Amino acid sequence: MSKHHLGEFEEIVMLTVAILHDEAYGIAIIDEMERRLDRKVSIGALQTVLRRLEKKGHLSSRFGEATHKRGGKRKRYFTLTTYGRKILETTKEQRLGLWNAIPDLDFKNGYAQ
Amino acid sequence: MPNKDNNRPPKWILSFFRWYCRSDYVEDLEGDLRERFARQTGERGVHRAKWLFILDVLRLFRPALIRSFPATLHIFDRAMLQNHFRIGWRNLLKHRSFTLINIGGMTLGMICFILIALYVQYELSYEGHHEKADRIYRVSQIQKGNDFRGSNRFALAPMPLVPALKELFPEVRTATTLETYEALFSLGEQSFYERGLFADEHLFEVFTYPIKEGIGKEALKDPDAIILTESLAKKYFGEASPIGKTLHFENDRTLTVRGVAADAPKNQHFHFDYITSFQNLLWYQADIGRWNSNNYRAYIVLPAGYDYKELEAKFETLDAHAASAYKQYSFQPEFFLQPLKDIHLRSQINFEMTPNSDIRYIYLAAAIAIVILLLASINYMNLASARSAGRSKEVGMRKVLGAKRGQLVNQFMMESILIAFFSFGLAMGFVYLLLPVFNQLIDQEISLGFQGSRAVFGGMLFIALLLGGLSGLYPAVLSSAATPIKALKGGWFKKGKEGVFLRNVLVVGQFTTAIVLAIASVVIYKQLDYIQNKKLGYNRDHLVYVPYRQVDFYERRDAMRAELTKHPEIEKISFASSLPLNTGSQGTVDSWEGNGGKEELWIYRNYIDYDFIDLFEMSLVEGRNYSPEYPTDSTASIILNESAVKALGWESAIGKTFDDKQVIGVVKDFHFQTFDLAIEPMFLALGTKRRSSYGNIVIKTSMKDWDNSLAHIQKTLKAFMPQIPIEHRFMDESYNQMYQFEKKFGEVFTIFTGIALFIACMGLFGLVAHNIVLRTKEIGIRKVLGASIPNIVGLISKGFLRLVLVSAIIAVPIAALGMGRWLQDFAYRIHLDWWIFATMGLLALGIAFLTVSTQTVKAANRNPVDTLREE
Repeated sequence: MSKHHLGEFEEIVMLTVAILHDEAYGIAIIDEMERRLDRKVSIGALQTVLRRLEKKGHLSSRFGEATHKRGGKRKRYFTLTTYGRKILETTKEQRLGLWNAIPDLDFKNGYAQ
Repeated sequence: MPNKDNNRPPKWILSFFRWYCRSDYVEDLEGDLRERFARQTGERGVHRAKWLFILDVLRLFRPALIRSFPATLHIFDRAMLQNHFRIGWRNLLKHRSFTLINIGGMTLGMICFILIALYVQYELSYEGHHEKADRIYRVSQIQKGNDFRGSNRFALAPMPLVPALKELFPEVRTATTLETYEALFSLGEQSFYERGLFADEHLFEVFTYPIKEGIGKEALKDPDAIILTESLAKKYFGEASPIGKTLHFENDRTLTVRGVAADAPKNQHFHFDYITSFQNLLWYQADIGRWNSNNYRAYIVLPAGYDYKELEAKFETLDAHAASAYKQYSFQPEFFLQPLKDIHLRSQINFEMTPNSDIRYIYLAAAIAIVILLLASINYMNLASARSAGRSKEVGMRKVLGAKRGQLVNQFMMESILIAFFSFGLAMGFVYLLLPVFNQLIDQEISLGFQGSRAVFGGMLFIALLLGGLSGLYPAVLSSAATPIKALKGGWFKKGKEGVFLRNVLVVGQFTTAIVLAIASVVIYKQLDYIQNKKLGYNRDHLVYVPYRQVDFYERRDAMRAELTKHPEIEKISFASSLPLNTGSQGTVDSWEGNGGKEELWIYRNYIDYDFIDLFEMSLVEGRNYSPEYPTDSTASIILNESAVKALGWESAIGKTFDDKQVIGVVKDFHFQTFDLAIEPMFLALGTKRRSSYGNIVIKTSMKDWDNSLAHIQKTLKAFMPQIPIEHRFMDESYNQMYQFEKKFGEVFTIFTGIALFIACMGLFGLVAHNIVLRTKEIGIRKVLGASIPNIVGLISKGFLRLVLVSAIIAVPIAALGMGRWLQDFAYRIHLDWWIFATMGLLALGIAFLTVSTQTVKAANRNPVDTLREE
């Protein structure tokens, strides 16, 4: 399964793309991440990951509409591929499995009793 | 939109983005960037938005997003590379003198830059080895109204300070009290003074001194324990482990070695060879709980990120504690903090543990380094472009044979980068060889191993490559742009008007700098000469002195004197508490005739004997010297200096009372401190038994048969004071040592001035050569038409000499201003005479003329047939 391993940032980016559904383009993704996670993301870091995920086949992209604000440049919308969705689900299951395996967690003190 | 252009992202950065970005990404990424820019403009204003835009573009410059660059530059074409290399090499060999000057000048500049940069880095590296260096602060104090040597700040702290700090302020994480002190150690027959660190047990929580063997903290709780540094352990016990061995301390007690610490680095503001508990300081018992026991240093550690000014603001409560102990004084201490890393360069207060350096010298050194490198770089570029002027035929030929523009650019760039790289290699080698010499010159121990030296070399390499690239660029672009016919005719390298102006500015800049430096070094030299030869008010020749401490031989002083003077070459002996080198002992007196105890006078004190004034050949303005013929002298008489009499407002002092004693004489003012301090009031009293355990034995000899006299001195002193080491020093040497820093500074400054002037001349030389190449035909035609050799020499020289003259005119006021300020730091200083400026200006002009004429005379002597024949 190590082939499907997702980095933490990659995972977050894919989840955000999934949340935004058909509206996921660069700026919107950054805004969403900043809003939900209170985390500063630079365009450079995000775009590198987006292109990498696209190359791996986790995401696909298409050109969208152009606006005046964008100097007449089109947006590039990203969507999850079926493969990408599968990977996300696998990751989630793995996490849950790990969580469930923890015996009797004391959340207040942060250690198992 | 009213201001349409202003609301757009900067054009240049946008084109940069479009240039590097992958073509299939460029559209949507640019859209994203612009959208973000539009929003930032609305939220934070255009100015900030532009900055953020630039930052965004730079952050997008990542391998994943950059387009792949086709190999347009052919840099890695092996055959071409070999050819370029070979041609470049031949070219260097063909113009040997040019090559020598070019590489030599650059190498010289780099050597200077690297050496000075190493020095600057070293000075900045102070205290860096402590893990908490950024959080350690020294607690010092201001005593308003207590001016001592021109400052009311003291690097001292009382004993109760550290416990009080810990109790009052929870943000003080840990703190330590310490002091360095030279104590007497003996092992068997041998005895030495060794500098030690006397500290409380929290020392290791504040400072980082790794313990190699044995124990650290626990040893500081035990006053009978001592931690030696590795080198001191070796000195006393050789290779064997010293743990458990004993040393005799201050002829009093026995200390057991409990630990061995690594030798402390030299780049910290205090030095020591061993560490022991501060309870071993003689005055420890008396100081417990005393808020005016200013015999210690206090260091605290604050939390990371905490602003120390915040703590300082709360110090009022602390000052209140101290105030009660100062009731009888006219001043009260106020404590303040000094960041540990600032101490070496930014703290010039009283009672520093070792003399600190000054950030101004660091700035000056950095400025000199940059100026020299700049001068060398300008030359390098001028020479490189001048040299390429002679190669237009080669360029033309290459073009005809089908060389592409990129290949030509490549060739020139490669050649000049090669030279730069070669210079760098040479410079590195020389730095390695010269570092010991440089260390000796500046009296430092810089090694190539310390942190930061790598940054210096890396920086230098980067500058070298940049320089090579830049200076190759100019001829590369010029030559490659010319058409083959033009290049073959030799016409592509015309002198453009702007180019000439720029070069003139550079020459003026170079010579202005060189002349300013030259004037400065003459002024520094003259001031130091003045200090060395100024009448001090006493004689310091033929004097030897032996400092001593903690010996009780007051009763045997006469016997010792008698024994010493038995030697025929020993003329006089005197015992004095201080020498007129750096008298530091100062106190207040509030009783004198005409003062009802209301005022007090700060006065330096020196406890002397009957022979002191005679031995130093001081002269008395009025009254008489102490004499054994007057039995009351030892208890009821006192001698003042002129400044004291003046400070008291007396016409004549004889017979008046001062400090409950009668003034019997006034000694002519003599310098008892360095020249940056004015002569202040001082009294000379006869030494008493109570004051006799510290001081100096001063011996006047004829200096003939010195070895013999020295043997006699050592034998005698050993007999009288068997328990202390006898270290004799020469008065004049010690005097010169006080100005050692200034002297070194002057020497170093002169050397670098010479180098700067030399480099400036090389630049001029190169320019003249360049100029002559361009005017070869003109000179030929002039000669044919009957111009004489002096005519032609004058014609070419005139323009250059005018530039040097302009430089001199600019340099004089700058130098006058700068040196005037430097001299202000000295209480006794020379006048800035006009002739210094005139001589240096003329000297620069003379040197420039010589440089220029070596070339012009040669050019003027060439046969016009040779120069005109070529077309």
